[in-house]
Amino acid sequence: MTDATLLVLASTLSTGLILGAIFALVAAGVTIVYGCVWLPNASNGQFFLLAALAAWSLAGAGWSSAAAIIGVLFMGIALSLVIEWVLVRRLYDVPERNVAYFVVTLGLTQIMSGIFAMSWGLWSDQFTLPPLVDGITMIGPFPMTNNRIVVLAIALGVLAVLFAALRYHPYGRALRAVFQNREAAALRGVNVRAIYRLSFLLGSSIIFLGGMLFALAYSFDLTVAWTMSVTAFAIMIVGGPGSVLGALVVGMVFGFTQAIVSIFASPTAATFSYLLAMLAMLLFRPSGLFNR
Amino acid sequence: MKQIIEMNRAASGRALPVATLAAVCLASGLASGLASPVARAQAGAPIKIGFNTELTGPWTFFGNSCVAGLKMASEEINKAGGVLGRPLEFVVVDNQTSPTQAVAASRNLDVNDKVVALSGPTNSDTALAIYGYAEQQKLPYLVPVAAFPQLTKPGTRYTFRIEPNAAGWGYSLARFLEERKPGARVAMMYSDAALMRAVVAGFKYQAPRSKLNIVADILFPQGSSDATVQAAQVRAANPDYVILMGAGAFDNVLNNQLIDLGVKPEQMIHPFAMTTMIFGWGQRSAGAIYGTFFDHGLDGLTREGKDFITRFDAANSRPPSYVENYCYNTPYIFKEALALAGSADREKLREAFTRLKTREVTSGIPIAFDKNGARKEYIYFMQIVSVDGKRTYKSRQIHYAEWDADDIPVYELVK
Amino acid sequence: MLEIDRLSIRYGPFLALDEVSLSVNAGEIVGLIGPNGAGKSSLARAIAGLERPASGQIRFFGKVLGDVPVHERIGTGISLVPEGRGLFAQMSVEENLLMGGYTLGSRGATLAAMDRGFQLFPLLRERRRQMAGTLSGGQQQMLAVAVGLMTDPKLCIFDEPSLGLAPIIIEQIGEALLAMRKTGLTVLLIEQNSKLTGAVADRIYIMAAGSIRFHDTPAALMANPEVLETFLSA
Repeated sequence: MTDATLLVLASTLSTGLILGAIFALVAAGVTIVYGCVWLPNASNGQFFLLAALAAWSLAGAGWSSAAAIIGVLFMGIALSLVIEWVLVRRLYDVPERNVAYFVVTLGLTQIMSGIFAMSWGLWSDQFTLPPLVDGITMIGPFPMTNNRIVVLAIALGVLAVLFAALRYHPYGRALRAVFQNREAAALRGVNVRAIYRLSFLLGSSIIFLGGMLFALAYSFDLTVAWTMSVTAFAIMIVGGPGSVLGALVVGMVFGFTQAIVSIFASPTAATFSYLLAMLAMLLFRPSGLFNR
Repeated sequence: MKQIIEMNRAASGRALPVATLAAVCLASGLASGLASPVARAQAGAPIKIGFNTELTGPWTFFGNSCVAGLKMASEEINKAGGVLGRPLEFVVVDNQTSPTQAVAASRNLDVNDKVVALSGPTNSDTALAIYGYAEQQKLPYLVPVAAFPQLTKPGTRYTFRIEPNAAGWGYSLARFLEERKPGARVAMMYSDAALMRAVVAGFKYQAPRSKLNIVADILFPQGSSDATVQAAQVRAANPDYVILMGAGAFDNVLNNQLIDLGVKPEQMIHPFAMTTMIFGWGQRSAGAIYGTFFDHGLDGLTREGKDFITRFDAANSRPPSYVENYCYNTPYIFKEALALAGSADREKLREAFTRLKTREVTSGIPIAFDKNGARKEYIYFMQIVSVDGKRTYKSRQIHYAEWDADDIPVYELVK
Repeated sequence: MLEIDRLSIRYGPFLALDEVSLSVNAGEIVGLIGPNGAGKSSLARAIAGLERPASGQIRFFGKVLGDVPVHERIGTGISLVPEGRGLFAQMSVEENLLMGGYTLGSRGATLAAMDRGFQLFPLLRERRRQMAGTLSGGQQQMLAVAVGLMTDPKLCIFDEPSLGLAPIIIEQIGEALLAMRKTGLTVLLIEQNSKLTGAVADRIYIMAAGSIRFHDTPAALMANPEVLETFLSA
């Protein structure tokens, strides 16, 4: 194989992995909240963007990217608690809460886009976080920035921890139990409302983290919110609502179809191809690839 | 308060009332004071000009940057006594970066505000929508920032455009590269947007005539976020220059990923650049070349131009780029044209635009419109010297070119 | 041990339970039978905290349960194995048992409790890795009983444990209940008919249309022609 071929091959791998991991991470955040609490958050993309913008502002104020990310995560948790307290908990006992919540968060999406447009939107039309680490690692002829390697490691690491926690930790198991049978979980002593709160916090924090990882790996602008909302939702539905494994697998399918089709055809064909891949998976398993 | 009412009217009837309301409240705060005539001494009622621009939606940044420049110039003009003894009033309306909204807003400005002319868009899609309305309703229309060639297609009567058309940018870029390195191998990476396509059309028209060799031509759909694979393909094609134009943040992604893969800044050419884009590219892009129509690093800045840069920087924490410059020049061009017309009559104003011979107050570049409303076109190519943090960068002018819009078949190239 | 005092439950205008009183003493197996819609499940759900009574009281060891939320009732010593078994279909047998012992806290206590379940139903040990949803009906019911007993409750309520099961399985479950009673478990057994209840219960309440109609020992009820004709003929 020539160096040129290797270069393209390695870049395909790296793109598939990074795109896949970040989208899978955000979809996992969405899927936990939707699968457990049955709340479809239409403003996921705005939360994602909010975290990225907040980290950008902190970095602009002189914080290091690492400090900015940790700071924003804490702020994100505080914000999620406030939202849970003010809004989300009121919906726990509403039978048709998915519809109510979807409508409320659609409104929130509009308000947040308006606020972003009139604040950050006036400062710039493109934002980037400074790299976490400098330097480049050569993978054969392919130079991969260490920053992107770290981003990939964080995304995959968080997904792995999340997957293990849902499988083996008592709270993770309780979370899945609530996904599957809310009443039976309560009978076994699970505080269902506390698990709702936990999954909302966990899901939101993961979405915040996803936004910041995206900002580290790529530049972003205000339109990324919409792209992310739609894609993460699609990944969740195809992967099976509530399934972190589903989010990971479908996220990777998304990343790799994008990367591969864009070499053999064109980047434009790639955006259609991942939708086709998802459609095919839905035809094959209409209720989602994986269960909870 | 009039502002708020106007903007609400323009924005009503859409599916997004909450955001619109929020945005409108914010935007009206921004726009107020701009319409209020400063010099009360002036005798007549204000001359109203509809400024139909992108205060929200994907083009938020451009619309608001533009209004910041507009505001400075209109205040200066009114302090100095306005024109024809009357103050100039720019009625700023948000079109949400939506062609449909842009038409609705134009109708409001025309029918309810009885404006003498339209202006404002910084986006080719909204600009084209307003173009349709202005030509049909015989309303003079001065486009500050929109480069899509068809805005001045043959037969255009009421539309006049300040920014050179994008096919011309591509044409002049090919001429520039021919001069810089004969027989150069050139790769192109760009987003699927009307503006980028027009630049590419102009470049591809001229490239064989300039004996340039296009070794890669990669189009990205809107909303792309990664270009590692394509950057690797481009690197493998071993070009002398890479022309890159990404929509929004994708521009920075293209830039970073090419540099990550070892493409040198000196090989990278951005057909156009705003201040914030250059900040985004950062210090490691020092040496890269970009096209522009105004920059604080220009050789021929006028005293007014330098003053504009200083004051804009003080107010906005960044030097202005061509968008702000065109919007700053817009009130001055209106002032000249109204003075030439001798009255605030629509037909007389249109006729005055066709005769107008003036210069940009900031750079002294001549402004005159041809029979289709296109101006004598020009471009600067700059090289980045250094980028210091988020507030400043240094650049130097390495090339200047002028040409007539119809030196190339622009209206054939881009439909 | 458990005293129900004039308990009423309403669903909108519909009175599901009309001032029902009932008691279960420590060490007893008490049966509660009646036709579909009699209000048996509503009563069971009210004891577990899933339904809010309109009036009346539930006392457990003399303590009024009114404000104790569902998830805390298992800690008071009441465990309900609900109608439909209340299993987590997409979890393994082992994970279902772990969920049964959710409130136990210590890993050791949970494993010990799981071991007791495996002794009661050795088949579950063989199937520990299998998804609960893929077990047969009888196996699922065994698992449900084992899950309900994980916390070593003082009172276990079984709602329709024999529904749809083969006689041989019902017999196995009956044996398990008798064995558990010897270790000190008190049972409230709810059924539509007396297949299982008649064989194991010390006393039986018969319910219809939201109230208790009869209450006696199985033998005495069998001797009552009115009961035989109306409730036990099936």
